[in-house]
Amino acid sequence: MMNDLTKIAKRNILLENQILVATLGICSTLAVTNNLFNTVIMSVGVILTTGLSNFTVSLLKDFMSRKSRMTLETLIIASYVIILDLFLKAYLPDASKTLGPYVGLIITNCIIMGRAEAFAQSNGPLLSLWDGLTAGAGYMLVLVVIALVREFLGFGSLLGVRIMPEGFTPWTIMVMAPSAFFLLGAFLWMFNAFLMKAGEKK
Amino acid sequence: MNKESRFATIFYTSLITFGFVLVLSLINFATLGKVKQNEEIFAVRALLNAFGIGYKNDAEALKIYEERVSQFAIDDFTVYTTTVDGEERVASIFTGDALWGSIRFAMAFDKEVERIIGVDFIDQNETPGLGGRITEKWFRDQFVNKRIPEGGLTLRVGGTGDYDPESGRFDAITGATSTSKSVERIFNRAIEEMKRKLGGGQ
Amino acid sequence: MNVDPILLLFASIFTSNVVLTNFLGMCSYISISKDLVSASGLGMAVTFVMTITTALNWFVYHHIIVPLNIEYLRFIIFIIVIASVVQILEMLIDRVSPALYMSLGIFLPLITVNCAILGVTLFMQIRNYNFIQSLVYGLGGGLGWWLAIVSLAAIRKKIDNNPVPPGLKGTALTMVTIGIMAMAFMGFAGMIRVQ
Repeated sequence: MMNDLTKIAKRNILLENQILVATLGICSTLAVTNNLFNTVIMSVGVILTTGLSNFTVSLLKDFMSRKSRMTLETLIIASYVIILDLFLKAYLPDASKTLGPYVGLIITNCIIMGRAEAFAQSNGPLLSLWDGLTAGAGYMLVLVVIALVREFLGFGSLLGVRIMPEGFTPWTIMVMAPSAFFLLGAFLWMFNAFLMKAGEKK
Repeated sequence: MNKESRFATIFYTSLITFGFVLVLSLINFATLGKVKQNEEIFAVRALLNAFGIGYKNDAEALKIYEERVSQFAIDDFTVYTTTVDGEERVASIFTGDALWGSIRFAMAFDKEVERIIGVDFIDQNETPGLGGRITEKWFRDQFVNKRIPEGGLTLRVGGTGDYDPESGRFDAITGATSTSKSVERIFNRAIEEMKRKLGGGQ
Repeated sequence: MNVDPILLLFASIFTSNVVLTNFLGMCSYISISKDLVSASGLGMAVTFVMTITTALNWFVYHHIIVPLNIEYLRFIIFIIVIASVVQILEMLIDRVSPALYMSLGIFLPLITVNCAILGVTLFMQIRNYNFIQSLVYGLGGGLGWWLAIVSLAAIRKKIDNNPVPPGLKGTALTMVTIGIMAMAFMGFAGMIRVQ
């Protein structure tokens, strides 16, 4: 059992990281990666939604027919996102204001649907929960690194705290959309190169 | 019961849908009051910021607001007043259309509406990291104690913040000229409205 | 909201392209852009569905969700509307024109999970557009997506014939390409003036 858990975690976070291997699910969060705090909130939201919807889908899989399965999965995912949205509105109103419509877009994050289809349909609830949580964690890892670079160079700060000296000229491009694509491209390149090297050694 | 049969599909689908909608309604009901309270706090904080009154947290903001700010209405236009350092100040909450959607903000003036005391935004839907930067302190601080010239404030493109209270100018956000232009337009409209209402009310 | 609809149309195609500035619909944007013909087919389907669903969701939001005071359920309702529109379109196109079905219909199932469609609906709602603006925004968003995916597919075709470091090949290089495209589209910002 323990072995299974580590294996799933290792697969989801490193070897088959959903962003790095399949480029899935970046639409909802990439837009807010110019701010580390927003990225963390969004990623935690994705982790919770993936985990809980995986858990629920696995729990209810005996009651879903082939025809209604996709619809019900979407319903479950949407429900968790609504809960998340309500929670943010009530307890983290500032974050909810800045994130705006992006919270709702978690529904169409392909990772969540992908894990529900690929894993939760054929595994037990607890294992599915773990699979969802780790798949989300792998997602968070990549986006947090991108957000670190973007906020640091784009604003000279981290989590809103100014780090660079007064004279530092912020890189405006880092605040804007193209830099997210460049950084993700560079990240993918490094990851692929690393995998190839590891492959050669074997 | 065979889960692939038509009856089972409809039965379980409705059951699951009903269950989730019920849970969502309960959560929505439970957070409703809190969300409404947050909205009020946003308006209160924006008004205090515009007046230039400091506070440490939301509770203190509400307390100061209760004690020091009073309000009266001219037709359906609400004017908030307070006294800071022996000088009377007036403010109101305005709405205007920017590039992507409406912006709601609090703007405070001296009694004669010759100077802006300060501004703060309540709602805005501009792109995060670009037009959305109007909420940042460096942008808002440009309006602190600004003399209102004949014909209104003017926008300058290419600067990094105009903090001269006598200049009658403010600097645009790099990369978000359209939003900055909208701000110029809606701020001047707000100034006009305040002058008209207070002038007509005396 | 009083943004000029014509301005909004151009802004949503060029300066605020849904993929290149808001990162919407990335999954299919990357996976379908390998081939120019399918890219164009999907782009057309997205434009079509986006225009219809944004207008329809505007109607549903203002005439059903707001009067019934069930705003917290809006995500689910929007998704249901989108899924049903896609289903109905698929059936209609199949019956009416088999030729069109071959070029457009096969992409329709992909669209329900395209976050650009839901994204544009959510932006329309949160920015409080009126009906005409929503229609124009849906159309512009779709056209912008179409333009972006066709350009990317054409560029990728050229890149395929060039030597590239092995690690950079594939998605990594596509990302860098999209980044450069996004910068090029930012250049349109000077073209559009607000009032």
